[in-house]
Amino acid sequence: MIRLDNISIGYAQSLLTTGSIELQSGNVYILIGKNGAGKTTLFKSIIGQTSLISGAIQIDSAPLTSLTTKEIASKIAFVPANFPPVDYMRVKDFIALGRSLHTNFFGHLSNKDEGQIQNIMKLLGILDLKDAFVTDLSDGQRQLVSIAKALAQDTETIILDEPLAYLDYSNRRSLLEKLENLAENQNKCILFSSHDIEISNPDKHQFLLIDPVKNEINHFATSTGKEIIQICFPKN
Amino acid sequence: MTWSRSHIIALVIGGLLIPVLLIVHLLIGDLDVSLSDVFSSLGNSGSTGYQIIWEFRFPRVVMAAIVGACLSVAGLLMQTLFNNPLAGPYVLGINSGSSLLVALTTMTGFTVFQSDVGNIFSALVGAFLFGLVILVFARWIKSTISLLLVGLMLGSFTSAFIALMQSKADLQSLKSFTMWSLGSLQNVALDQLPIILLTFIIGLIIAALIVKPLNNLVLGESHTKLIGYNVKQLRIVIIAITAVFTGLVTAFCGPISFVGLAVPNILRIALKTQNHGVLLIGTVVFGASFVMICDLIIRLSSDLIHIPINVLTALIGAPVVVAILIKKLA
Repeated sequence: MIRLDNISIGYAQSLLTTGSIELQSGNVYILIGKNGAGKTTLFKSIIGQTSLISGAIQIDSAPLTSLTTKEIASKIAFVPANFPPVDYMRVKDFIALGRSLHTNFFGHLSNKDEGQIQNIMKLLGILDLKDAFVTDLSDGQRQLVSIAKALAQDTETIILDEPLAYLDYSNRRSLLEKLENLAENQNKCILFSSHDIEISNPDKHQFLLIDPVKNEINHFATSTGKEIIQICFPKN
Repeated sequence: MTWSRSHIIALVIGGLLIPVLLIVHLLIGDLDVSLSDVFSSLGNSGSTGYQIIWEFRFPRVVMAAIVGACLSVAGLLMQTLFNNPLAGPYVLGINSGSSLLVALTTMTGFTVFQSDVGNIFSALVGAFLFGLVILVFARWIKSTISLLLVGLMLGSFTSAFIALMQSKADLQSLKSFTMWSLGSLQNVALDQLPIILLTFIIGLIIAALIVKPLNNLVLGESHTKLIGYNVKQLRIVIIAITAVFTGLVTAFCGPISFVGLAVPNILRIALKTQNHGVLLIGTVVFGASFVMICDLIIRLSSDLIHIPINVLTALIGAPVVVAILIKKLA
């Protein structure tokens, strides 16, 4: 469980503020806001890579500031928007790096690790890519491989920065269903950012909407497309 | 990370090359000896055979192997840390520290330690001093690119300072400094080998212990942090190993360039892997073999021409890297 307690995020000055927001396991949260609204900054604040201006974040009731990078990595996996430029790395090796917290000192994969990686690749439909070099993949395939690595980390919370950006309509729907299944069947807390309002489903998703006028993030247990547009993309 | 059969075969071949080259080095020279002479002379420390084989050829060939391995491992670590194939042990300016102090010793008479081994000591102190400067910067500067630039600036600043000293130096000291900067594998005595070997092995063990975080570092510092590593500590360990390895080589053999840049790049492209277990062993065995082969060429051609080691490593390394890059980009 992630709790944001009246936080103010940004760098030199405050970009966004929140009230008290709780992100629970078993739910899918979509963070929606304009370009440059501060979505990535919020994610970086939650994973401890950017300091808060004020307020506090708690992860499983422990203050974020009291956790080591290892403890944070055991609780939250983050999928950045950009794929790292890396030569000569095969898909299975890339995903296996997500198991780093669980493998031994030299990074040796146990049978359990191998099995888990195999299952994740099956779940995301990328098993046939396992021996391909990541440089040979399409943008959409790379996105799936990044998500597979985050799943291999085996954390309660997965945060994804624009995971649907490079996917076509059918892959977007399919990935979204997979994320929903992870929340429902494996009791994960999924938080991702998106510009794509059409993919939102008030029955299955909760919303963190960025109000560009008040510079605040508000939590809505449910919302319609019309409400989202009104709050996040108001006419000038 | 995957260990494929082709990786293991390549490493075994590289590993076998070292003893073969070692034996060839011991046998071949102005005075050719047989394999039985090598072993029989071992018990006769006063003989000419002992002096040629064990006091002259053996330290030189072992040093060639250590130089190749140290510089290649340092290059691999730097390239992984900076996520940049152009990074090498010299880019951080660690080598400049050695050059600066050796230049001071030979051209101005200033020395940190008055003795016959003044140059060696100066080079070691210089490397560690500049390594410490980089370590201090590494604690402040978050971006590796900025740190790389600091290293480059440190190198440029030092070069300018050395050039200034060269313009004021007398002919003899200028020649002496130039000879040192061309590099030589001949300056190591048999009794110095154990401490050099021990330093190398300790550095290598530490490098082997960070293989797992190095594999993660390939994806960048941000990813490495996300997976739970203390990146600042990791950078300090990597820079410390690089400073020790570069300092060790420069102190005893002068500033030998190109090996650290060429060997890891060639290996990564040839083996098509980012597995740092494979790459670490590969850089040790192929780096060692590379400099041993270079030195063999130098020794075999010594009747015709005296080629400094620094010149030969660049003459062989540069075209090979360019050829590979062209092939890769084409």
